[in-house]
Amino acid sequence: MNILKRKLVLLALPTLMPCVTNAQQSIVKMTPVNFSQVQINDNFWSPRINTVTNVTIPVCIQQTEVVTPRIRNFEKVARKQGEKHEGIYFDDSDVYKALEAIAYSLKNHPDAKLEAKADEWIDKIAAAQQPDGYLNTYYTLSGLENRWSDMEKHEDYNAGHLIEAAVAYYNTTGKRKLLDVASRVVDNIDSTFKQQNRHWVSGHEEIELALVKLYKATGKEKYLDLADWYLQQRGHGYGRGAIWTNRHMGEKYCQDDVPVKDQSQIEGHAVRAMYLYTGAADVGAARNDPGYLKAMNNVWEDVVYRNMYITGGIGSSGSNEGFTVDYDLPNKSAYCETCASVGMVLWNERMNLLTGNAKFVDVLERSLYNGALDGLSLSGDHFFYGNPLASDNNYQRSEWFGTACCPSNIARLVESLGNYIYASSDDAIWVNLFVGSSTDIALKKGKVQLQQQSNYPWNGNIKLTVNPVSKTNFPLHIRIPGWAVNQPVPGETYQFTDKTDSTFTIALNGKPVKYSMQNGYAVIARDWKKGDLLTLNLPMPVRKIKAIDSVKVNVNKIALQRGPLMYCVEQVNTDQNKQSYIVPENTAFNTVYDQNMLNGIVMIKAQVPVLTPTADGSGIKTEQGTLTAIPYYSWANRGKSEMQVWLPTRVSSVNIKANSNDQ
Amino acid sequence: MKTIKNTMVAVLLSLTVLTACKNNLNETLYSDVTSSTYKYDNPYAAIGIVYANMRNLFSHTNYYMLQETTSDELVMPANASGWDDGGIYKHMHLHTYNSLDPQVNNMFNTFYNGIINANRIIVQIQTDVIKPPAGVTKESFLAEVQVARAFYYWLVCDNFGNGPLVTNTDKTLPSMTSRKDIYNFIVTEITAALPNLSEAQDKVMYGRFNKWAAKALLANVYLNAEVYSGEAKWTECLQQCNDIIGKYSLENNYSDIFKTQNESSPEIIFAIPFDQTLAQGFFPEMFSWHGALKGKKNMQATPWGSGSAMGVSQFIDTYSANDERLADTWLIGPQLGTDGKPLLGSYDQAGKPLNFTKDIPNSLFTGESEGYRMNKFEVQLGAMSNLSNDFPFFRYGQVLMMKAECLLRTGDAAQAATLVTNVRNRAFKTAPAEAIVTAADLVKNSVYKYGYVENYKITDAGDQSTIQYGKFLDELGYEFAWEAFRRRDDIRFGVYTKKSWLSHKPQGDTKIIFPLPEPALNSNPNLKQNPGY
Repeated sequence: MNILKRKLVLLALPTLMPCVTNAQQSIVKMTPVNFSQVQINDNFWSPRINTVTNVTIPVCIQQTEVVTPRIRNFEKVARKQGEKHEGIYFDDSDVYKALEAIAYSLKNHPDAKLEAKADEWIDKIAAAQQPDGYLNTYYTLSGLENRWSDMEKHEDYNAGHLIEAAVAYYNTTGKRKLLDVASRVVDNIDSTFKQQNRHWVSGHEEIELALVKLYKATGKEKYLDLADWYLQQRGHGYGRGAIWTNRHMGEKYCQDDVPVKDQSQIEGHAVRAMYLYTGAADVGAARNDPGYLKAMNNVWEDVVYRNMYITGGIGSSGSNEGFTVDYDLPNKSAYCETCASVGMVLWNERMNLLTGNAKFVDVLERSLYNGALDGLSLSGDHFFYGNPLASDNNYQRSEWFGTACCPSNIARLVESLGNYIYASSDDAIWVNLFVGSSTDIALKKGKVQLQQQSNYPWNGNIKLTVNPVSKTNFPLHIRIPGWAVNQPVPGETYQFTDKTDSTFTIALNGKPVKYSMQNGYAVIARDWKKGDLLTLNLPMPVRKIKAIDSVKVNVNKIALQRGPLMYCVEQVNTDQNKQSYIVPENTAFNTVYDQNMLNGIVMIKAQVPVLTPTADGSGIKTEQGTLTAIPYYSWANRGKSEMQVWLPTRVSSVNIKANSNDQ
Repeated sequence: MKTIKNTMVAVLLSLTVLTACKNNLNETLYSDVTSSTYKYDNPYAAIGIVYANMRNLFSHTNYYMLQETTSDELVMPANASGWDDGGIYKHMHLHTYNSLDPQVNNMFNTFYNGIINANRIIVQIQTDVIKPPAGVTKESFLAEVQVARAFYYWLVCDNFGNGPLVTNTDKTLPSMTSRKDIYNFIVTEITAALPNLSEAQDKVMYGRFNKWAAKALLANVYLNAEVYSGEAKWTECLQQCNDIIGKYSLENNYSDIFKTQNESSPEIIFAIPFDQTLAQGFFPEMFSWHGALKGKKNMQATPWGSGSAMGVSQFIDTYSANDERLADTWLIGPQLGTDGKPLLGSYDQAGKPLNFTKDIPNSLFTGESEGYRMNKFEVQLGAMSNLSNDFPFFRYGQVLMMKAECLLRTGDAAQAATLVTNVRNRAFKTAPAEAIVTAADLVKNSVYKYGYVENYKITDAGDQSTIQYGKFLDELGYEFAWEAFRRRDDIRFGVYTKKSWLSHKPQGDTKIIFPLPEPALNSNPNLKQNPGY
């Protein structure tokens, strides 16, 4: 019996491997373990989740309902008094995204009062739905006859976020009202568009991934068909409306110049691109259609190899909220929209599930801990829309935005963080993120409980207790982050300045254990029994990163990474004088944990040359001084400050200021 | 121009008073004129808008060509001149029409313009805002407008199936009424109106619903009752036809029904009057003829490009060579100018004499001289783009053929054959024996060689099952080509969604009714798109 089982395992692995290693591009059946099945109990994310629940979501509610007219627009539709729409035509989506965050929050922290508020909103939303199923306060208040006339006007984007909220709320509460509203909205879209010779290009992608969620929630194939239809509309010249008539935008702006399956270059608006590719990956997985995967891989390489910041942020340009040309990655003017980093998390999760390759989680982790998390203040009530990698003292998080996509987006991401930690198939388990948590995973052979303990991201000692109900043989895949094996980011753009030999170790019940490396995972296939304790040690030295010379702004600069976190040097304005420093490549760093600093962080400190004016102003002198770097996500929480992620290793010119007002 | 037409045009023209009384140089504050203060001095003018609106049905992007080019009779391919309008005409032939096609929207708007105006006028007659003319009772005047409204509802029922059934002037957004309920409404309305309608066939009633026109309408509704409601009404249709028979007569010359001055034809029961300047909207030569044919009639307008609307060659093939309706209906062969010189091509036949040939390669693109063009409606010398031929919407020949069909379908093929022969006689003057059809003929299959065509040849025969009374359907084709009956006939005989012709392949039964247009759906969320769209 045992021998037979082993044989089966040996057989099973090679069948899995071709899926994830070679270019054949068939699709792996990995599914994420839903956040509702994951109890997070660590010291890093738990407090952040609590802050989102207790601060961010109430802020979103206050802004949505009281400060801005977003909820009032729904009330106006229901009143039918001919009142005017207020705000922007995509404001409905902020209501839906807030509801989605509330739904996740209710799962993490049940709260009858909050649920009553959500139900009140849902009643108002339902009351604004038209008899034919259409639901959009902008067009209903400003002239229904004009609906579906401009593909840029976010009608399907709004519908997509409604669907996501509806599915989330149904999953948390079991209440169908919003799901029924969303289904009717989609049925109306379906009957409006699914005709011969009828074309429609969604001007802001989002509904594609949402429709796959609706398909999974309802089991209705037609929603998957509609998602696929939306994807297939792109790239054939069908686009009509403000994007296509605007010569600064055009079809590239919304990835409509090439059919999705033929795309290979990242372009246009970053958030649109992320949502599109997430939806395409979802449809490809659900349809078992490798055509999308091939295109996704090509585009992904274009993003990660040539167009991604070291923070995992994307979209360097504010003028199009998106991409420009390869390696154009300015630091101070970096746009790096929070929503685009959220999109990177979503897309890379899908790519990982499709391919079983850990490199996608490497990027996910980078975007999550850096580019996305930076969007939210430690207090939970201020938000970045863009996340630059360098700043003068003029950039701070805001309380809210006219276009308020980011606050609720980061809120829903944090509340649903549990989605990204574990994945499973019928007979295998993947551990993707290192977040103290526990979960139960049902394999075909039986249920397995996992308990993860660590002080990540400050410390790389990870303990994983495996508790199968009874002795069970399955391969456990533990992600070995690229940063732990000398590969900060897939591709050539970013490299550590030095190689380290101090590599990770894995032990089982205190003893070394055999594992094989597959697609960035250490795979331990064995008979697991109750109480098996796996320990993974990921050393976290301070690593210096260089960008290749093609990234011109980063020549003669390094960035500091420790564990998954990027660091920055922040000089708060209350410091006496701003230091001008260089960080020579041979600088030695030490680290110190300060629990009182910025809710508890590991700081990096180093003695570096600091350039200051001589007392008589006749020149400059160089002295050793202390440089302190903090995690990038935590900057701008101490008032106005100057900040740099990329630090100079040498001086190439000197810019003298004659007085403190000299610009 | 004859006096009948002058009178009628005067009646129809006066409707423009309502909207654009710009010929009066005395300053008038239009903002002070509302429907409650406006004085309806001329009752005929007051109801004229309901009739005048019917003229809009006849453009190439409205009801007229939707009935013909969705059928196995006519097609509007793109051609060498490049005229294609984004492929909207192909949608009709291929049955890939959708809610965005402008033809569908135009048709819907024309129908409901008529209905909404009729609703208003009915209320205004009921409340004495509009007073009937001297010698006409209020009941009679009301009945006429109700029948006109029922006419539009018949077109709604026939083309859209389901739609809003609005009979008042409320501002509330209507919801959907089923095809069957609209059908029942039409029958009830016409039946109730009949006793009050004028029986006069004089020039005052020309282009209006007298009792016989109403009965012809009702007969057409009954003829297709099975399609609309699932329940056939052959006996009821026959009854209406019998009531009309004897009141009108067949024109001796087939082509005279369609000539420029056809307003006194004894065959016409209900006409939509047109005039090249005063009552425009009928211009089939503009979208069928080649531009060079301007020289054929010294026209004041140039037909568009190399023309489009043409006969499906498989349909043309079914004609007997002795059937004079072939040449009376279709423009065939070499084309000469008024000077007797050949007219020349400008595109793929540049500089060569134009010679219209029967065969067309497919429905998508044809050469400039391919396909037989419209010859049914006379284009008089010096014609403008708009013709003055009145459109014979219901005519006596059609009543006879409806009666024949009812008899045929209820088991009296012999008497049906006599009626069909009657109608055919005038078209076989050189071969009178061939005019005679027998009972046995009429129950035969169609001679139409259905099948999907690629590069002039049938490559996929598709459904080849026997069409019941197919020979009779063929007869309807010869008699009524270009008269907007073919879609309805194809549906009734089971051809429309079963057979292949030219580039058309069956697209499913949902295509029997058109989609509601997007603008209507967009502005009224109570509406519901038809199934399959």
